[in-house]
Amino acid sequence: MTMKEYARLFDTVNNNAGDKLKNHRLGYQQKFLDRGFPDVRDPGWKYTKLRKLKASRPIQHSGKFFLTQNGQAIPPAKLHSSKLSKFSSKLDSVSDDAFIALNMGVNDDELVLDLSSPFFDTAKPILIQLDYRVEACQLKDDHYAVVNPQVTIRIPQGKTATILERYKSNDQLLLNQVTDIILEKGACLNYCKVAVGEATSSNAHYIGHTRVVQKGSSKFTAFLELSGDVPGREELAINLLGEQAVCEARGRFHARRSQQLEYHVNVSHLASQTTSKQLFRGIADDSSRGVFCGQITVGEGLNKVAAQQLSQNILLGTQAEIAARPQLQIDSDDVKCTHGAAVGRLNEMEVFYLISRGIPRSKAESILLAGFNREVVSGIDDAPFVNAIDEWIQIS
Amino acid sequence: MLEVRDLHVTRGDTKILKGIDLTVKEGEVHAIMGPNGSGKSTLSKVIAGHPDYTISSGSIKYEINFKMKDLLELEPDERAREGVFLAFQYPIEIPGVSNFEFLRAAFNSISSHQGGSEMDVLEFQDYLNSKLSKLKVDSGFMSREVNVDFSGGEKKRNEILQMAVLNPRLSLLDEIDSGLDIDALREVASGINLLKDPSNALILITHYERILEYVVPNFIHILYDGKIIKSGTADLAREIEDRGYEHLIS
Repeated sequence: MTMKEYARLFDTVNNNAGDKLKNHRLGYQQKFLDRGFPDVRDPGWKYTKLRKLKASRPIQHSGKFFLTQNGQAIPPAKLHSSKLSKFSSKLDSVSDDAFIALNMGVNDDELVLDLSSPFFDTAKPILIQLDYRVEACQLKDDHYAVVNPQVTIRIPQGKTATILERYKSNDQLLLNQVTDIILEKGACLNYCKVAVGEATSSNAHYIGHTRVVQKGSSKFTAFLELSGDVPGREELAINLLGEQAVCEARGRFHARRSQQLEYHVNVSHLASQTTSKQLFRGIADDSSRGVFCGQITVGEGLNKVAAQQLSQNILLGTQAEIAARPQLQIDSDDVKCTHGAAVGRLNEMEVFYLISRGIPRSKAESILLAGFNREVVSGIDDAPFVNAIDEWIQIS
Repeated sequence: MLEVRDLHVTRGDTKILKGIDLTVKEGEVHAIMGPNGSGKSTLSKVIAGHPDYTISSGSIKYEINFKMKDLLELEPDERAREGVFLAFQYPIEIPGVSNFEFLRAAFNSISSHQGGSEMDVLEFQDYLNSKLSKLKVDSGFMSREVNVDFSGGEKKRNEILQMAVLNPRLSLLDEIDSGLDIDALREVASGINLLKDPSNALILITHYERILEYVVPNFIHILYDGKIIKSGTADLAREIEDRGYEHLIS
């Protein structure tokens, strides 16, 4: 039933588009229809529950990006650049992901930021928001809205920028988002993406993709957060293409009730003297489930590659589960690679230390969990970026 | 203020305390000395409510609102709110939590229980500054994560600072002198002396007589194999320093 519904949805979308855009979309649409929704047999999709989405009817909706810098709104019309869309197309040709194909096949809410434009003051953080709410009266119970926002960012050679993105969603909504990022030689990007969902039923999902290409001597620092009630999945793929490219990716989630939150991170070292670091932390409460799948790939014939990956997780609920799966594929010899994954309960010695000071147990646990979460941000070695993330999360 | 009677304590299958009797009154300083493994730290942890230990028999009474109450019926946080404070031998590191935030949460929990008001950030900052200045502790301490990357001396100073902020009635100082050089020992001892007053009491757990030169106890108790085998005054510490524990044991 679902693919027929999507074929109908694509027809509606195509009827309102010009020939050029329609042709651009058709390949992706076909890929999505051929591929269908992934299921538990697909690599990387073992844990994601899509049953409810598969049984419901999709209705195309469009979101609107809201951009600000230094407190001023930026009109999106000034930001488009056709060259960058071509870049995304190149990445898609190698991607087999159904949700990316769906996003590109609809391609209705597109935002392109080329920071070579003099329009931007790269010294100040750029804030990107897309808040989409489905009102209760808008859809029948067995329908859901599909919103496919897409962001493409290019940081030109030698430039430094800070970009913070936020997606808000609610019930009866599949928010299927893709961000593509190119860092030219010597470029530097501090990047934050926060997904916040409010949902009372399971007929909602956030699926995010962040695809990054780094050229020589570029530096990418990322912080990701999945929060709220909507089941969420964020995929981060970083390709270190140029020598001396450096990336640091950090992320956290706190799953509650029966919610499922997932990170799938893939860092590919494709040049010598590249460095990557990952720290992902998760907390699972009640009967929720958390997933961290992290892959490090080091290509053949490379030297002086360094990669670190750490996944630390706390189970709070007796029914909660966290799956932490580090994976390494190393095809070179001159590589320093470390990885670790831990799933456990709160440290009772830490709890006792706090309660021995008169702090009630529940408050002591909250303080410890806040500390566990905060370290993911506070460990970033860039105080202005840490402050920007804290502010961004506070207003989210 | 505190009455420990015939206290027997086990950890797992191991009997650690085998009949402790101890009475502590307001304004007194008691030192508990003894060789390694005698049960000194266990006694302080049990009074504070550490969950690793089981009380197999005996009692601990503690004065609350002018009445002696069964301390063992209270959870560790309730004991702390009634004025019991344990300075840890090995203070625990709490990553991601600032000393300021931790101390304010602890202070407000205790203060509101004792009928005082909770302090907002600015009020607490002023209150804390007065304690920092009294103990001559650098204010940079407060923004650091609790005990993370602290030296041994800094950790012990942080325990004394917590004691100053929380203003307990009964302080249990578990080997507060261990791992300190002579200057750090003097600083910590000076902090303890500043906090002593006729309305509170101290139990100092120590291996060595050295700290007792700076914090003079009213009573010294020698603990060996889970029992207090001798009690005396400050002179007993000098006897231990001169002749060791062996002559008391044999």
